[in-house]
Amino acid sequence: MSKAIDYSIKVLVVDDFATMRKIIRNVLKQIGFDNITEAEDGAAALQILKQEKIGLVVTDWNMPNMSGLELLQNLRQMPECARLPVLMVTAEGLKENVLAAVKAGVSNYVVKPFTAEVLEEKIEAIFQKLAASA
Amino acid sequence: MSEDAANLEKTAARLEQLALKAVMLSEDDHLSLGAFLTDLDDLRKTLGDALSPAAADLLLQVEEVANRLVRHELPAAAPTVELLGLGISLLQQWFQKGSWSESGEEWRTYCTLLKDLGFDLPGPAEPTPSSQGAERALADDPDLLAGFLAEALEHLEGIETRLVHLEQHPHDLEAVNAIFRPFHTIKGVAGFLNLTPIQELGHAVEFLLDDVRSGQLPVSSDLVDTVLAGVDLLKAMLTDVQEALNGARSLGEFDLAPLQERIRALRAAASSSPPLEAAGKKEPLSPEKLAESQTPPSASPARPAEDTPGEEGNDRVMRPFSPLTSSSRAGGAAAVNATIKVDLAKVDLLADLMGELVIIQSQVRQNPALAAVTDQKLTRDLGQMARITSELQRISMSLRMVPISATFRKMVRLVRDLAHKVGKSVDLTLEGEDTEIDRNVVEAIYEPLVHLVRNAVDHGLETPAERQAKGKPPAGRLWLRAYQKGGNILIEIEDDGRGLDREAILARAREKGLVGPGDSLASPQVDHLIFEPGFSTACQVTEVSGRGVGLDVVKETVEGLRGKIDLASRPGEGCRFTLRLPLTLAIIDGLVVRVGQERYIIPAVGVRETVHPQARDYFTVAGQGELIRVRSQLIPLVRLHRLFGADHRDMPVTAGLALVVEHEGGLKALLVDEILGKQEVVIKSLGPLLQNAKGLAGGAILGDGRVGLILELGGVF
Repeated sequence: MSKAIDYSIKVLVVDDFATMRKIIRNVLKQIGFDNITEAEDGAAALQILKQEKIGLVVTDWNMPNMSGLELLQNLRQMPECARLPVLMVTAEGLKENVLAAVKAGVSNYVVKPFTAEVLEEKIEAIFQKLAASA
Repeated sequence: MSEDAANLEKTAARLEQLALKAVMLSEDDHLSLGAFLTDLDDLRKTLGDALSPAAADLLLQVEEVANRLVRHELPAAAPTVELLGLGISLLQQWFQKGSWSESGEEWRTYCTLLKDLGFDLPGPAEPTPSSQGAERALADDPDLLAGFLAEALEHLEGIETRLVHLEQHPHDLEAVNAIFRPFHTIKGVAGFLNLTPIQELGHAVEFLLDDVRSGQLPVSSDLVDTVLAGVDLLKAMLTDVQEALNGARSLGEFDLAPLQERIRALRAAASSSPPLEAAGKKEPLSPEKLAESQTPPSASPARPAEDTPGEEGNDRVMRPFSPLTSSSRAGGAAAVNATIKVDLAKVDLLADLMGELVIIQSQVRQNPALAAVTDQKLTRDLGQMARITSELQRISMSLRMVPISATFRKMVRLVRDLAHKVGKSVDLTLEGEDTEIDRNVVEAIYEPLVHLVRNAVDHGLETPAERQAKGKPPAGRLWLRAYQKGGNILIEIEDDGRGLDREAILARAREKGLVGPGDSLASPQVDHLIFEPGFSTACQVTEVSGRGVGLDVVKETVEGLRGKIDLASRPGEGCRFTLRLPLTLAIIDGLVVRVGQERYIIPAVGVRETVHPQARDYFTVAGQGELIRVRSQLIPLVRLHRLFGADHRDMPVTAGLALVVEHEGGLKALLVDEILGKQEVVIKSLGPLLQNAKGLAGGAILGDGRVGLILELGGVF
């Protein structure tokens, strides 16, 4: 089966923890994404989303000021982001949060720590769905 | 009636919608799953009490199945989707007929599927992703690891203040979140970096805090103690990894078991008490619920901390350790300035080079050849260069200045722990946390501050009972203040406790032979006796203070920093210690004096006055050496060149100047040939040979390029 992922899209990684951003960036690179940008909080992420063409958002759940959930809720309010793939990074033990994210329109979620294979599967699932519904 | 009819119609439509959505569901389609869950929520809210108990149970079950589908907790997706469809169909039956047929096909299939999916079995079916494989390579990236450690420790900063804040405001959910966050984040990253023990610790504490967030566990002092122990352990582990990384030694061993046991006990104690709601059903946390939980409950506090079953006796029940005035925003987000991290050695080098630049610049300007120059532009440019240089110097010095807040905040934790230990309640107020001080000074005063704060809590403040007997409020007050005054930073530690016991001090001093039997001393002099070596008036050595280290050590440290310590005590009303410290250790404000061919720099802070000695004011007294009289006071005269063995013949006192200097309450007059000026000099180390020279604090390059020796006043006395 051919992969549905478009590797040329720009991926936005949102996490307040710099090390985590670096890890996610490394894993994304391993998968084959080259065009990666970062934001250290929800506000910065929204700013980037307004200015740049982003094809996928990978956001942490647990951030100060604006949580990943709030970021998701905010960006879904923006018409241009209504269908933007958003992958939520969460940790075990917070599964209740996942439900809230799903209700708010998250495209998929991944539990830390994850392997490159797992992240790739998750992203692939998002794009397959997107292709199917288009 | 028509309203009811309209509502009924709406509900029927909702159910219809749900049935439709159930058919279209698929495991990976989170968008449609999300919409389905939202609809279920809406349905439950609209129907509310109208639901029969059986229907309410069914609805909850359907929600739970959907939740588990989202979480990939069910072994097979297709039967789950079918199960959801059947559930909705049963609900439709109930809605139309008031019940569903338990002998019908749908109900039987529903039950079978439920059983097949092992629905009764709790726990996730999804295996925990292992941290093997690709991530192992990540751990081999030392830069990433180093970055993580620094970041993790940074995120843990301030967590203690937040915990103390939480203890005082047990319902501040934002504070819980702020404490939860670093543990959660650190755990997450540690998983990637194969730091399994750190991950486990983070996980354990995170779970505990999650129970607090969800209201299942009350905030008790036991809980705060446990989390603090977790913070300590986590910091120790992070530091250990850091050291292992730097020194290429292997990792230390940490025993997590005791902490995990404490956490287990706390959680067990909470779950054994009756649950909050009668229905034990665990509802999924909806965004609305989440929103509700963000506002602290006001009307009915779920379970006040005081109700906690005291496991270790009553003394563990929360003691009021009352609020910090200045850290009321501890849980909130503080404004953050953009910063970068720079190696301290580079900053030191920069400051040092700046010092050199200032000096060479001044040498150029004082060059006699320049005095003959009449070119106005050159003169103007030189003036401009001087201004820029001194501004540069000011800025490079300020690079090493850090706010004292980090040190103050450590005291918050200290005071809390101490107050608990000695059974007192303490109301700590921090003032002037933003005051900036040289980084090296800040590090050096940490120990003395701890000492003084310990003393204040342990000896200074009375127990609540004693205080009430004296008509004071039961909570003792403690102030930590920092402010800038002139070229100095002043730090005050003040309590409103019992003050110093002068009788006891005098008795002790006589016993040690510090004071003769007949000597009478003024009150402040008595108070200052506590700075004498080995002096301790504490009746008994308590667990907290009295470890054989006296205030003399504090005094020594402060003076080693070219600072001064002072105290003011009012019996029965309290005591205040004041530390006066230089803003920076790199620069000293000094009087440059000439003695023969030598130049000395005398710290301006110690100079009281300058006098021209007259012959009639000069005395030599057997056994006491030379004295001069300054306003009817006889002051010992010191000839500096004798002190340092400089080649200079004694001159008559009337030919020179006497600088009256003060040190530890004593006065001496330093005889010099002339005062060359007052200037700020950059202190340079004298090198290993002269490092320990008595009476010298260092050297400095003066404006004319010559070297001057900086006098340390303690060495003159």
